[in-house]
Amino acid sequence: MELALKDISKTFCIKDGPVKALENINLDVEKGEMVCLLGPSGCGKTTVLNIIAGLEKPDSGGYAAVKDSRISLPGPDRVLIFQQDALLPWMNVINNVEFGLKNKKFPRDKIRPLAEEFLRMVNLFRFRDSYIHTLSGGMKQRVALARALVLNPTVLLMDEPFSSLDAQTRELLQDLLQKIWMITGKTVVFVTHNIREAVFLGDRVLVFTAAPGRIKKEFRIDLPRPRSINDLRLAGITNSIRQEIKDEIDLAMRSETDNE
Amino acid sequence: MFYAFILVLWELLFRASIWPDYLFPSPAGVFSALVKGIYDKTFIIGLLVSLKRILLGYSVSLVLGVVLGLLLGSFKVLDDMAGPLLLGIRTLPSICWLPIGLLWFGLSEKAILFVVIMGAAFSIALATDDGIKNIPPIYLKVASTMGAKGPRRYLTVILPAALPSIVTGMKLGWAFAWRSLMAGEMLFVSLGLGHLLMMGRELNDMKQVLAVMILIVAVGITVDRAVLGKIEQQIRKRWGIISLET
Ligand SMILES: Nc1ncnc2c1ncn2[C@@H]1O[C@H](COP(=O)(O)OP(=O)(O)OP(=O)(O)O)[C@@H](O)[C@H]1O
Ligand SMILES: [Mg+2]
Repeated sequence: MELALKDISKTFCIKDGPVKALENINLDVEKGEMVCLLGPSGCGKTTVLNIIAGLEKPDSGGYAAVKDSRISLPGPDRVLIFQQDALLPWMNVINNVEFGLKNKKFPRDKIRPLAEEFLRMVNLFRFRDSYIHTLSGGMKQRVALARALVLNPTVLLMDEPFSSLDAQTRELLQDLLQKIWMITGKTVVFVTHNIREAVFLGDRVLVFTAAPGRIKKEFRIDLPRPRSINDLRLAGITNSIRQEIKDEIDLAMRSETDNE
Repeated sequence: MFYAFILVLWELLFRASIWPDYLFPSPAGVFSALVKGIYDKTFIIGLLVSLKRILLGYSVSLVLGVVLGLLLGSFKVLDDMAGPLLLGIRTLPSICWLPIGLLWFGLSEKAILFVVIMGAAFSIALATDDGIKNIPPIYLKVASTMGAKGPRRYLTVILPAALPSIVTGMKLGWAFAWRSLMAGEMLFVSLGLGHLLMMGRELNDMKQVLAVMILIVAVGITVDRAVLGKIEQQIRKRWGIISLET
């Protein structure tokens, strides 16, 4: 198994006392699979990714493993792509893409060509010398994608990477991600709020309950690839999932607002 | 506009002859003293001597300050122990270091440098410390997931991420350093601008005193605005920090 989560729970201790964010998460992801995690705000999706990335430790009893070795620390075999503004603004585009390779002590003469290859893949080769503050939000996320992929991670973790983009850019990037995923065959865990996005991208969609997060339901999306965002079957599946998780969203809305 | 008004007011007060000429010179008189000083090279030499000193003292402060700040920002124990002490020391006017400097180094170049370094290094250290503590957590997560460890983590992520704050500290440090240098130079035959100021006093030459003062202010502002201010602006722009000041 490429990635396995076994009985993962996570309790945060804050000054008001313990907060249970995750409860008994079990998940197996196969090589080359794209799994989408869907759930209301605050249900612990980011926490799951942080645990896989090694940035956060699960409560004792559970564990996460990549290729059968238990995860304890962050490492370039599990790269996390954030929602926004995670590029290093003191480096230009190409240096951002080269950053992880340089840390890894990759053979010097191979770094530049490899970084350029991945910039071409996200159609940003022309902007290799640009500084980050001159890029649009969509361009930044494409650089982040190239920066992650160039490390050839075993698992690519994406935390709502397109949620701060406008609808049009978002669709373009969803298409690009699908294309790149089909070429590279990466194992991906993709977190989103957006049901349609999850259905478009995922081989499987896992729906979380409101906090504490548990996996409530699993949907296998058997549409052929490449998928089109305008596919009617996609809209159909999206609607049926929306219906099923409506209760969960209502519940989350109520717990996040003050009026009882 | 405002400055023109001041000049006019100055000229009017001068014309009114309330105070004698040698205590209250005219703007034109001060200006000619400035030109004369530049022509006979005394001001130029004074300027160069002071600039050389400040360059040396400020560079040492910068290195010391950043290293100290890095240590404080990286080890919480150190920060807890030394942080309050440093805050206390920073409120001390830097000229208060002079007696120690004089006792340790005598009436010499070294004593002046000591005062300059003490004046600037602590503000730079505190700003560096502060900058490190306030690094957006996302940069640290990126450093971890991208495998930046050890010295590389400091050089490629932590220091650059703290740089906006460090530069702000450098501006503060500069102001302290320049002031303490002038104070130090006034104490003995140091040949710098501070010394020229004292010479003006001894010769009862108000024109020279004012001319040198203008020069001191000019250097102070130029470095603050034109050099450090520009760097600060550039960095904030590129780092994507929206500046609140206009
Ligand atoms: N470092 C932390 N310290 C304390 N509590 C935390 C911490 N990180 C997350 N939490 C809590 O854990 C719960 C889950 O947070 P998480 O960020 O994983 O949710 P999420 O599903 O990613 O939400 P969103 O969709 O809004 O990003 C929340 O209740 C949050 O307040
Ligand atoms: Mg989240």
